[in-house]
Amino acid sequence: MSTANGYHQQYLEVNVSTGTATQHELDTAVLQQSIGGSGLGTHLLLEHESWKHDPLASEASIVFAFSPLVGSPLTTSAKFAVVSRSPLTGRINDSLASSTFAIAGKRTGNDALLIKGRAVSPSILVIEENHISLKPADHLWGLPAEDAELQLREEFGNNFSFAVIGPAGEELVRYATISHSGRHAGRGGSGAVLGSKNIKAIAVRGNKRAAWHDTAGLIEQARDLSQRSFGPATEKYRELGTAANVLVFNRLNCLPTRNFQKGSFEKAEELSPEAMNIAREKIRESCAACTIGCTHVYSIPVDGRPSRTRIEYENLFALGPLCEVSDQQTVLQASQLCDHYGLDTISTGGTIAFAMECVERGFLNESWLTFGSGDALLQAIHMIGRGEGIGVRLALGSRALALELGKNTIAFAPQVKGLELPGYEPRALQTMALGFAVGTRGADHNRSGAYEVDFSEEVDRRNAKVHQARLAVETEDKAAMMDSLILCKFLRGVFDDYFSECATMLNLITGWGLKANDLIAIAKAIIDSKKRFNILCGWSPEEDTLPERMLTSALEDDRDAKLNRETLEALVKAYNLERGWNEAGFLPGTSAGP
Amino acid sequence: MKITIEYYGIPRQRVGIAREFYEFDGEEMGIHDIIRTVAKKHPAFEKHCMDGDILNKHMVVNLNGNQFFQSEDGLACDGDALLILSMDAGG
Repeated sequence: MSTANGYHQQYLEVNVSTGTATQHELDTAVLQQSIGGSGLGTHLLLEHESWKHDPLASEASIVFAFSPLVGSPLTTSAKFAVVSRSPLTGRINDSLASSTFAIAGKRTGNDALLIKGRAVSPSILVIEENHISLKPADHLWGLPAEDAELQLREEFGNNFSFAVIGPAGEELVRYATISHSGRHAGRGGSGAVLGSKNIKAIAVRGNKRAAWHDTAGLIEQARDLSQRSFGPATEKYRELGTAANVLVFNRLNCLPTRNFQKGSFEKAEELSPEAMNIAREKIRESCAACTIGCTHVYSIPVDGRPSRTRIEYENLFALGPLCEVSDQQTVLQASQLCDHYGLDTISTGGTIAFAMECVERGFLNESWLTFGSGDALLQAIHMIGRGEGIGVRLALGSRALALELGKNTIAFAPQVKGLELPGYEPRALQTMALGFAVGTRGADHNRSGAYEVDFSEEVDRRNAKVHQARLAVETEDKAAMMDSLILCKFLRGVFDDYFSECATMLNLITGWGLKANDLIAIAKAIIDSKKRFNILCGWSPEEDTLPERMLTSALEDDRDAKLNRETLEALVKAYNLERGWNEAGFLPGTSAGP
Repeated sequence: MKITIEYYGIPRQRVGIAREFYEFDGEEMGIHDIIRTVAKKHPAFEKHCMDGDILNKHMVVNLNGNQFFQSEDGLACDGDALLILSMDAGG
């Protein structure tokens, strides 16, 4: 096996049933084809045949994958991917989070940690280089992730970093998160996968460093990238954060409101960062090794006690307009509660908004759960996090609730493949509609950046044409590379020639001499791998669609924003062919399925 | 002709207001010229949102909530609303 700078060329397989670990080599060819992060995680899931198992079964694998850039001076590179089969969708799920866990995890001397099995009781998995141990976590069980992390730091010291689940992960809420330092690997329920293994936390520590091919060149490149990251490309994130989208999306009728019935919210201004900046104290924070500092943390006194919460656009949209709740304090409190329990805010808000509409239309007998009620929103989150009453059903997500309720409520459940839609109204952003429909982890804005196409002069965002499929593919390829390298997507605006610059960074670390076209091919192969995993899980072409409501009715407040099934099917077909798959979306040689 | 300029994101931060009204001679006007007028009126906008006499590549213009213009080639007519916003939509 040849050596590869930037890597340790091994991963650690941990069986928490037996408390044993096995070291596996990673060949250079595998690393060149999967890079790291999402790509490497997907490769390992395929290798371990994880499609065969229920996502919450003992045999199921969950991978924490690092990347060649982790530990380098490149800004925003301290990131890790959590990859598993999703308990929410039954399909591939790759969630990313940031900060020192990535650095400490890689310093264990492993490019990935693959965890299987089920501990006999609540445990902390401790990984110090290739030595592992399981310690009791009974005293942490039930604690919010943030509190548990604080306690772990006291017990283990600052040399360790921790990935932790909250009560929602313990309760196996299908959209529970894994948290580290206040950031979440949020989507798709990786927190429940870890909870199903009785693992409350993973503690990592090590001193191993991967070598770099051209250290001087890398430092120069890192300096240049950091300098550019201070510029206008990231200004929006620094000054207002992602929440700046609230007013823009509202004006363009693409702010999903009232469970995707409308595209604008009369009281959006109240939830804008511009309004919050006036009303509240705010501080900015950064992940480790990041020069952008996009995290906006607002004060939120609760019952007279001071507290704080991080705010992103997706939290605001899902817990505000989507549930028609406009009270700023309530929405911030709801966001804080999601952090407290360890819940994905998008799926939480999407599922509650769906339930609110079911109540309104007489399909669900929970009369207190109404649109616009902040108290109901907060109560519903508590019930999900604690596994109480209706919360038990809401914890399964909107698709499962719709299938249980029947009466074609699935037509307005805001999900694709079971994953709740993020805050981009697909009828008003139709390239994004395609991105949602074909996404391997379901409706998602981080794996497809197709909204960028809709916000450009290249297309009519409310009247999609099949040539947009190629543009959607391009944004997905970029995301796949970024999620495998791994770099923060908020950097994307600083690159003049994205794939060339990514190749330069990767080459400085590895010495591989890859070109932009090589990276594009690798990105496409990574997406192929995710699709292959889904096909092995039983994926069918019918999954690549949108909720029926979005294909049969225009937005109430923008009658020009309408999309029909024929148009979406034509887009999906064009997308599949652009990917080199057959019209139905099967990879060559996979049409028969597993 | 009268048009409304609406500011979002960084442009709003720099200008300090959500919207304002402009009156021009004639029945239509190029978006490029309108942007230059805005820049002349608001030095902070000119400094942070412009690259020479065009919007920097991190800004984008939208007419009436419909068509986007990155090249500033379009025309605005009486009664139109011109939205100036930060380019990146991700969140």
